Amino acid sequence: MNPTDLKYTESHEWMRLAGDTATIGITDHAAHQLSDLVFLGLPKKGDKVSAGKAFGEIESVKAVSDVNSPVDGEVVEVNSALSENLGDVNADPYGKGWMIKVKLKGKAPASLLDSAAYDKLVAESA
Amino acid sequence: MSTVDTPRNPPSAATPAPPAAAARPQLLSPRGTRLAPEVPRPFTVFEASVAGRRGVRPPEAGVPETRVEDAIPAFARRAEKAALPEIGEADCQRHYTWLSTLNFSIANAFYPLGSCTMKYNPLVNEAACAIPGLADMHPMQTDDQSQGLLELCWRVERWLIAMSGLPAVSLHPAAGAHGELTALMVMRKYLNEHGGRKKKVILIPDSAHGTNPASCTIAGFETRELKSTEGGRVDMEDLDRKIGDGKDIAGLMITNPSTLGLFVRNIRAICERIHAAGGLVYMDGANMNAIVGKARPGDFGVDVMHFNLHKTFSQPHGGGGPGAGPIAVSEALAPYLPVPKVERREVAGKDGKVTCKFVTVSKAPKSIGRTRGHMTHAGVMVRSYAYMRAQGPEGLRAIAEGAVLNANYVRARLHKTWRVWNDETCMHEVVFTGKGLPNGLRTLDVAKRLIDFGIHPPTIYFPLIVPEAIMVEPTETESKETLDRFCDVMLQIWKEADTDPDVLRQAPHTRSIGRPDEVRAVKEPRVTG
Amino acid sequence: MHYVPHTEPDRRAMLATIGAPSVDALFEACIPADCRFAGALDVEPALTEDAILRELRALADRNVSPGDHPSFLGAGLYRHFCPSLVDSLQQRTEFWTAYTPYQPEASQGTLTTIFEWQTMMCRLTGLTVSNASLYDGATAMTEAVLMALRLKEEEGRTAVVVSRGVHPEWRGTLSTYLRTLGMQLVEVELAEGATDPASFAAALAAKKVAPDKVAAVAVQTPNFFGVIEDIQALSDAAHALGALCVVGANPVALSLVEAPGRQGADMVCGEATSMGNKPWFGGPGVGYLCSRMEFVRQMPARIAGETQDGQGRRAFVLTFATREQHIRRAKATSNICTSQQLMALRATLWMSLLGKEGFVELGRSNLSRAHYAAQRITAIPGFALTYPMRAFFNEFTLTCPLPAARVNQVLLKKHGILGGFDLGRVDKALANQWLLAVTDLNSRAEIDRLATALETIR
Repeated sequence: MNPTDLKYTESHEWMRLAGDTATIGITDHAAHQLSDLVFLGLPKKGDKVSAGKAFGEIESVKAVSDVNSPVDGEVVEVNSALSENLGDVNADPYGKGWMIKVKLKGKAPASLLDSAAYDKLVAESA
Repeated sequence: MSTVDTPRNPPSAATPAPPAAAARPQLLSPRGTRLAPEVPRPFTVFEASVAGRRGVRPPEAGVPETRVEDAIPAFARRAEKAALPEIGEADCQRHYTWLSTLNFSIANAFYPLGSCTMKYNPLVNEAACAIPGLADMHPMQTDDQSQGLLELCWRVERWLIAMSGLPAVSLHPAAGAHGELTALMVMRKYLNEHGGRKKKVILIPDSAHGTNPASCTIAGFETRELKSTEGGRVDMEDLDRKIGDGKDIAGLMITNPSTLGLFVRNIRAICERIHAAGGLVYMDGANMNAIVGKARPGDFGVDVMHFNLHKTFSQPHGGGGPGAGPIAVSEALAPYLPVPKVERREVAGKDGKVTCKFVTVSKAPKSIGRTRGHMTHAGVMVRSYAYMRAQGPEGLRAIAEGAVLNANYVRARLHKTWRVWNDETCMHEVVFTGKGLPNGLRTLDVAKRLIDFGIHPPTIYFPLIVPEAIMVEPTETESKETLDRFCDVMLQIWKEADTDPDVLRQAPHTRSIGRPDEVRAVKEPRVTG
Repeated sequence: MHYVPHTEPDRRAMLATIGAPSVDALFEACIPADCRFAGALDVEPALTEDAILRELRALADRNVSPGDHPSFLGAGLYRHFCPSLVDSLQQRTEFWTAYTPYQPEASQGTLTTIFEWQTMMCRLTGLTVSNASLYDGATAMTEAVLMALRLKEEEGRTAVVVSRGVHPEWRGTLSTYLRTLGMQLVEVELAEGATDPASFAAALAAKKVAPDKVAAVAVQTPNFFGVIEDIQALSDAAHALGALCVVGANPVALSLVEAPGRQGADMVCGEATSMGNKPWFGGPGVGYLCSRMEFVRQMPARIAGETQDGQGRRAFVLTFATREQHIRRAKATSNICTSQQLMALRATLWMSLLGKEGFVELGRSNLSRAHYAAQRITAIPGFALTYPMRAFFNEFTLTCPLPAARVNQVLLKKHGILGGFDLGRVDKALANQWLLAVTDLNSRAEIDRLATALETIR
């Protein structure tokens, strides 16, 4: 279902960890819920993020959602091309739809879900 | 533009029982009744403009001309005329008259919009507004020149005091949301001056209207959401949890009756909890139509509330405004009300006779100050006062009784087919859910299909705690025939959802446009011509 | 006399369907006994239509109305000629009883007029986005300043400079909102009736506010004293501080005065009530706010936009809704839900009917009449222009030989004329200062009568 090499949050964000750098985006389920995306607000390089707290927001015509960080850290890269290509969030949420890269401060929280647990969460909320 | 096609004198008038199905009037079947192609008409007045065309001529100057070049220095002189329309008077009349026909209105459609109270707007109120000596009044005239209007405002305050059960009122706020904000500022100042500087949190149920948390933010408060129970009621356990030790609790904002059309039965207990925590209770009065003359918020513990004059008090909606949002407060909060405000003073004359005069008070030591220009929406107060005088005390009760009867009648006629979120006696509005509609159809599709029947859709997707919400508020000015037609249409739509889903999916079929592309409106914005 | 149509048979039939014995039973089921009010409401008794109108006429008779007297009172709210067609079109029931246009298929009339209003206001102000309207000029300027504060939030800017040329009620409103939010308001004094950009630094220093803390500089043109300000110089000074420039502008003056948006203003706002609406003792009026399209996401209130439906037909909708309270709730750009739609419609009709040429002619008529009045009055010994070196549109400040309040008293009692605004009411030090507005509704005869009357007041 959802990629097995990623970790997930209950608020439908995903994280790919390589060393101490995390690549973060929103899941296919979240993208699907929002449907037509019109705007994405992302932080700047150097901004600090906190686990469980919003680092940006994503808008469809009728709704706004916070996008939360799974980890504590500092933003080292932002996918600035994404704002002009919001369709990538729907089409390729785990690839081209990545939003920010964060250098971890400390370790990733143990409470993050693996893909099996996240798949279960999605199935239950249907 | 279709109108209610239910005959006023049903054929079975002699029979006391509800008319048999066969005697019911045929419902509109709008498929195939698409508007005929017509002469293409320009949409905006700019497309109707032709260079050089002139409309109405302004008054001749009548004095020697002062040239712009002589009076206005180059640094401020306008280089180019603003490109306003250039259209003849007759064509202008055609354009706007035609535009108006693209709208629904209360005069030709039923608007069962939950929480909006779209009742009849009496024309005597408009006649009141046209009285010379009212509309021309300038707000900066002196008090002795404005006694009539000042007294009118004072009288409106007396009415609101009586209906709220609270002793002091301000007519200052320009709209309901503005009333919320003004009231929150009053609360903030009161708390600051009574050892409550640390009290920064306002509790708001998740069923609240969006203006509630938005107003809190502007008033400098934090909001903490209260979870509703399954039945959409305040969860008392969650309330106690969110109050905690009460140290940071400034108060609670609550709508009563709630946005589900239910009276908050434990409102006294809720108020007591908040007061025990040193907080204040704010009541959103949007739903006063259900309880005027039947319950007074001041009696059950509310410290401050607002009224929406464009809801219960029949101020016409005007396509989006103006409204007015007067607030009523407890004795303790009264000194903090905004200025300017009107007061009645008794003056003893030299002959010993006592007369009263009305004064504008511009300075009050504890007041929050002003939150808008001038004193009040006097034009709205005139209409509301005319409306109040038409009611009298019995009329107010008749409003609530009619509203509650009508909403329950709709509920009773529909609840075997449409799922009511709380299927119990409701107040002035009833909330259905579109969850369970066949063929993947949604509340939005139902709303768009209602338009084909000449009925304005009810409030949809609010409150947020009800999935696929449909909130129906008939108001007391609707007759049984109108309600019957609405219910017949809703039942027909349910059938169509099952047997002919496309007719909903592609609705509306009979308007000047189909469903507009709202994504495109944001992605390729065009906000000026 | 109420508007509930139900007869007893209606009620019985409906209660039978509901399955309740009485309407009282419905209330008893909903409202607990300890919340019910069974007493008598202490309110005035019901009246029929004729009596209501009599009652209101009696109240109206106790007012001194500018409709019955020549009036020279402006101070932010001006009377202008209004074509009869404005009343007739606005009173079409589809405009005045319609609901907010949340269902576009049922509201293309309203939505089109909003789009027209937005277009007209942008063309007047030289900017690229307008909202559907705000409550009034005072709250419009406040919303413009709050918008600037949001735009400058990241830079940590929390102070606002406002000129004392801005209407005192607008400053009062702004002050209430900013105080609530803990933002700082720094007022700058006028120099010879106009705002001097060179005075910003000193004003900031006196309040111990660093220049790089200023989010917005707010000015008004023509200002409260009637003086036309140098917007280019003021916006340059604002931008030099790193702040945004908010300009409150009388839209009718913009017939002859350059669009502030073309002179560096980032937001232009104000009171549009004078276009097609009656003063109504101060409300309901209509405020406007325009800005740059790049700032649209921070713009408060409703915005209409153009799009297409599924068949490619042009359609108008409310757009950028995610800024607003019903979606963003606590994080909304504003709590505003209402627009002053009916008043904005009247202004739109007014602008359409006067049109491009008529609007400028009306402006010129105002200019000429006001300057004629100034000439006649300053020829009277003791009366002088307070700011003779400053330009004005249709309102100017006079220094009088006696307190303005006294002048007004005599004018009304002896001559039946409503005089200008007594500036002593704003500041006791200005007791002899008189703010006189002369518009297209003041005929030459009225102006001459005023001058003659003033000659006798010494």
